Amino acid sequence: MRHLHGLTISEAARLLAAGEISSQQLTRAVLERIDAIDGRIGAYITVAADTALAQAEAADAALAAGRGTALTGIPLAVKDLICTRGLPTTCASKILQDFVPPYDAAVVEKLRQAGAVLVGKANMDEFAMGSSTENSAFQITRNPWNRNHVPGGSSGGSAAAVSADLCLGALGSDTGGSIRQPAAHCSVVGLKPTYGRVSRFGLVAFASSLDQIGPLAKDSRDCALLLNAISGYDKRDSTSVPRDVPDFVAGLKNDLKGLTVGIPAEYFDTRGIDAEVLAAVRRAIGTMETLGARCLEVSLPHAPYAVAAYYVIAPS
Amino acid sequence: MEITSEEILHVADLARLELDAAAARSLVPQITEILEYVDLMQQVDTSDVPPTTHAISLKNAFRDDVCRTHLENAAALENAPEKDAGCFVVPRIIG
Repeated sequence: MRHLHGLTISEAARLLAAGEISSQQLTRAVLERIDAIDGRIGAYITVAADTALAQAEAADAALAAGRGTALTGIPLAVKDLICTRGLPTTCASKILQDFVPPYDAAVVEKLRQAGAVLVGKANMDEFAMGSSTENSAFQITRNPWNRNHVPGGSSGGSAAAVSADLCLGALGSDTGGSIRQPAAHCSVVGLKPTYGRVSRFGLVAFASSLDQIGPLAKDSRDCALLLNAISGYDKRDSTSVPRDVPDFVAGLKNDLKGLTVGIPAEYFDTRGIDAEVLAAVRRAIGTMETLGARCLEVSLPHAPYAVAAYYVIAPS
Repeated sequence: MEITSEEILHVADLARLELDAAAARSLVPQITEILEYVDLMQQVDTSDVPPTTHAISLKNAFRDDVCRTHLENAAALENAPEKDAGCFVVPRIIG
């Protein structure tokens, strides 16, 4: 069997359900890998080894009693601007270096209820103000693929942790790309849920009308699993949308037939794009078409104002 | 839109941020750049665009007006550097 820390959430869940591995083994494998290499990556601000192992023990009991869910016993990292009761939540700022929240964010409540194991709190740009994780007041995070490169940001710690198998999945937050961009930088999957899909209760706000907590994982299926777990209406968040949550895992297909994808012409102004990036994007569009998607050139005439709108709304 | 270092010092004072004259001067080009984004936005004709408060048009998202305890007083004050009679003690900011 290959290293436990290299498993995806889906693979680990299968092995846990079959009793072939235990959550304690899995969690220990992840913690040992953190000890071995996180010094060179800097993904974690806080590692909660003792509580993680206790959660793993509880998860093993739940699994043995047939009460396991898709995330029971799975070691996850949580971006450090999401409140975790009893665990420091610093937002990568010295202002909050001693802040230990007396309550869990809604998404953390859901993860605990699902029996997930919270390995630790991931590094980020201070108060999410940045896109490289270089603005953390504590440490920089290095891209596991090339340590002279940034992991992106602001959820750089989350992305690096998933990428380097320092957790099986992670939560980040995204306002103007802060999950998607670091996920791309670290070659993992990340997504920003539609605003209102995931409760912001317990999320330290960057831009209240734009923020969403979302998943980062090693593949799309794992992202769908995490999204299932964290989504849902929460009356404590007045921007939370009271709509049913579809089963995102059931929605996964092996092709893109029936999907029409708009390719905004304004995004392809070659003055602003690196040639290799442009080639990679064109290849990805080709792959989508091979998978059955219809790709259509469209125009978004307000594209030139997007950054300006963001820089006015986000600080407001 | 231009900003002066005096205006920056005034805003810093309102925000209770300590900033010396040199720091204020160095912020002039950076803050001016952000204000230029505001100028850019003024170019857009929004005369028939209704204000948007939520991507999915939520209205009156209130919970029931029922008293409930979410966090016990002691828990809420756990991280307070200074507390008194069940309240946070903070520096005076008015007067």
